[in-house]
Amino acid sequence: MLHDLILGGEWILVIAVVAAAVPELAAAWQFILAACHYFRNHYGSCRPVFPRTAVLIPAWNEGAVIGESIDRLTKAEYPGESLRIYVVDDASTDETPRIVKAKEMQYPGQVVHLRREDGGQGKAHTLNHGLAVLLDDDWMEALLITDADVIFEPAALRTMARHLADPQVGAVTCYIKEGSRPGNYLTRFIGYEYVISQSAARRGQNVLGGLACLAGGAQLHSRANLLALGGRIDTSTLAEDTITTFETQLRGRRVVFEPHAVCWAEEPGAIAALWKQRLRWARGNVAVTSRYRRLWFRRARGHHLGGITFGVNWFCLFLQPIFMITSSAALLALYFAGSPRVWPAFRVLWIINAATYIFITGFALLIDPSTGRRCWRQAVMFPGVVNLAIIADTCFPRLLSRGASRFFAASHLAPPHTSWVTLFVYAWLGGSLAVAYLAKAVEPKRGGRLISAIILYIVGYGTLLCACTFASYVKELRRAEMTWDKTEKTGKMTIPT
Amino acid sequence: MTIEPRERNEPDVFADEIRAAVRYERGLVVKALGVLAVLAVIVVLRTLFA
Repeated sequence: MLHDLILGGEWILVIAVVAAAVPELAAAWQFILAACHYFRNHYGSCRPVFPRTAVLIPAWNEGAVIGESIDRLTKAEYPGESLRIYVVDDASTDETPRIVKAKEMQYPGQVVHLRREDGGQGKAHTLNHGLAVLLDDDWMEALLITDADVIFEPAALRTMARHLADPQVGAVTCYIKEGSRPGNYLTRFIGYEYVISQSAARRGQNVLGGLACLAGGAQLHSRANLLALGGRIDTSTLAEDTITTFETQLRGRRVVFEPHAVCWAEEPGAIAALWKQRLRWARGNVAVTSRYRRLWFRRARGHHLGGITFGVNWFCLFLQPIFMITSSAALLALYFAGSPRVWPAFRVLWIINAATYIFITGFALLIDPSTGRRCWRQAVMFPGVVNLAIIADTCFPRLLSRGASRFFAASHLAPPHTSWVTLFVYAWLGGSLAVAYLAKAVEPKRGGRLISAIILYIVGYGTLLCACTFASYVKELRRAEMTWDKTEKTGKMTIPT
Repeated sequence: MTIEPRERNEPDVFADEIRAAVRYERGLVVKALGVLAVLAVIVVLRTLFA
């Protein structure tokens, strides 16, 4: 009976299988849009302006990095009289207060130390402490919100500020690159991920006219925008950057990504730290998705957040783990029901995945060649060994089946070679999420770092991020407490010359 | 509030940098077309030799 039921809904299952390619297609479309940035950008409205800019740095125990960040900011290609740096020291217990006070003496009138004695409430609260001080005085025309570990290239601030000459622009963000040196395999994965998620995706969002998120470590706001936002950063979620971005656009102001303004940040070098950071981001996105539920797919005047493309891209990222699990479940259901459509559906899914992988990887490496040279191995390995093998089998089935290796001949996926290998690859998309979780789970064990690295290369970095997103659903369903988990910084970062 | 250009501007540098940025973006169009061409070749080869 179950067999008949499954075959009755065969086409629904086939659609569920192929639907797993939708996030990949959406990502490829963002890359097409990124290429269109030449035709639709904001450079025509830029002017050489240098608004009086306050740099606001929230700092909690940032002794390892804060001094270098301040030094770099003072060396920005920006008029000294138009630049002030405010460090909001969130009740730090390390060297931070001493270092910032020393910088205050070193750069009199340019560096200001603001101390919060009751800290630990999170970044948004710390920012609001500084904002209250800054908006109390009319000196500031623009505000750069950054993090203590972020190092700006000398031209970055003036390159961003040009966009504020257009009064329609409320905020500008720049391209944050991963800067750990020498770094490790994980920081190089993150470096490549930032090419995709920032350099490419945000160019595409510029073209669409709606930005999903200002980078938390590099957002330049006009004073008018801050006042329109009520002079405060939202403190109700873990996604204050995204809320600020959405609220700016909902009030009719544009948010612009400037890909040629670059800053560098130290990112996690261990899976546990990455997991903590991304879980916070993913839980923030769950909150944002729910908070703006009346916004999605509803066009409105004054902003582009309700556009179809914007909504599809948002939900493809948000729901990717669900797509993966349902695809695998549908494949297995079709397989066990003996459906003749299981193989063609699998084939269509992976032909699309292979094509988007080749396009996205090739183009991403060319969008930012310097990162591409450093991270090309991680770019190639981004989907993981298993998915790459399936892609290779999709592209060159004869190559594998006629190869010398008996293993490849035996594992060739096309019927009649239906075997445990076939079952494995059908279950893989959904099952890989659990394997990715394993990479995080084994890392603290003895010898775990090596094992977790091997697991990560097998499942792919993208799958690890999907597993994080899935974990955020679980946390939200269990109504787990939302805490601000700071990412530890070590100061092992240099700007490549 | 409108942010006005200040005296410290360097209009030539500004114009050069904007031109360079636009040129880079134009280069991305070419790169995207190049990658799409490679993809097309793979698809053709795959179709011919499948």
